[in-house]
Amino acid sequence: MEAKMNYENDLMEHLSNGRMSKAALKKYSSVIATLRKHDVIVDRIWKYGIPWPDGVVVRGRLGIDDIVKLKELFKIPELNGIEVFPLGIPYPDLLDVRFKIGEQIVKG
Amino acid sequence: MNANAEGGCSNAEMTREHPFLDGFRVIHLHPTLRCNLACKHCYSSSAPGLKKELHPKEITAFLKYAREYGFNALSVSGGEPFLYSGLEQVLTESKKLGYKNIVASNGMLLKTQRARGILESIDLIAISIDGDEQLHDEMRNQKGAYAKMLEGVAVLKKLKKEFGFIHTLTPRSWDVLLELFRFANDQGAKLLQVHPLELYGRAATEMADAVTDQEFLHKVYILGNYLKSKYYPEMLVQLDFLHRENILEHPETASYFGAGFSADCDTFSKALKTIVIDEHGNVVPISYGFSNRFLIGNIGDSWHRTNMFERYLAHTWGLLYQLLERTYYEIVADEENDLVVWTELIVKNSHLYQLQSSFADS
Repeated sequence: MEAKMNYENDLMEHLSNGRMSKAALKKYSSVIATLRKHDVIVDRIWKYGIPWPDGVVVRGRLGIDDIVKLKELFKIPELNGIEVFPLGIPYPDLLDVRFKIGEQIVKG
Repeated sequence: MNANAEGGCSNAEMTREHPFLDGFRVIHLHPTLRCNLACKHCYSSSAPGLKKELHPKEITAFLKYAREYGFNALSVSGGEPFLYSGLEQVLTESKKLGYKNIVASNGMLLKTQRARGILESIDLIAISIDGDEQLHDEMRNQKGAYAKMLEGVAVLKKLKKEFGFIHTLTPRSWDVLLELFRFANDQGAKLLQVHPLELYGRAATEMADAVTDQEFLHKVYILGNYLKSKYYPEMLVQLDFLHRENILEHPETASYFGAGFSADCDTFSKALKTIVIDEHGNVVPISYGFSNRFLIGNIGDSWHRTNMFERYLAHTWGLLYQLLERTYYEIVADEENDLVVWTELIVKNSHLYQLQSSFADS
């Protein structure tokens, strides 16, 4: 629970960063809107990058029946990477998908 | 049924299907602007001492009329609804007619016996909350407002009444947003509605410097979408602004159903989704403050059994749809502003656009 609170606060801090450009925020929300369009449920968003945050990872869930939608998601130009983890043993019924949106902060 | 120029409806068949959203078709009622508070962000400038109120019989006659056209939810606002003398009568009749009753309240007047009786006719009550105690009391212009609201919430919990919270989003919300979501969830709320501040009424003068710009809306959109998932299904999170991409994908969310669409008696409530009865009894489309150029009628008309909606469909629908269409294409063309507070935009445009009765110049 504590860890969850921490990453929520981290996300707030990241979004509040005065050095983050409007264009970066626009890119984040555009990706989220596209994911929603393809029925991805956004589970978690966290920043990545050391020492400076480079961007965020959006983790979402997608039903196994919607696997064909991944093809469309790969086309999102703003994404730096996608990782897919099938969930469910022995037969996966859900996909845990992690979308990397990057290079948002002006370093300096 | 289709509307014709004579103001009647015939059973002509629809020629095509349209992707309407399911769900509530809402009559948003402001029976009085009397309130026990004078909040800084109030779009209707409600305040104590305003005596005028609508007659319950006129309201219920209109509800009966509108029910036949598919409207199925009554949402009472104000002013503070619990100060409206006819509230119990209206909600009881509305329930009998098959409406879902929703009430938006400041939650401060729920401890009386009368209020407890009225609550029985309410399906969902939405309590307004502005943040933590300090911010809430400041926005409400009354110290102790937060504590009294909490007492009201305690009444709802004791009665096991379904309730939600409505938050007016201002830039100052950011610092309290996470806590607000946690608080609403901890209280057992079924809904948290986040509505960006609209600069109408008292808000236009007292909150003019508190505009929620795009940058801010982006942050709330990103955080809000995460919180939506986090609290689902215990608490539904509703953000009252849309991403442009979602509007482009689903134009019907902006009440646009393609070129040449014409509503008829069967589709009127589905196409419009919301109509508003203001404190004068005027019925306007979509949102409070809509220009009277698009006036649907007055609830007195249904009292006199005139065919308000049919007349509207025959004479004014085209003008309204032109407004909806132009607003949709304004959103399409505006690549800069991704996040759209559609109700605010459409109300603003209803006053701005110099529309003609004819489509010739469009």
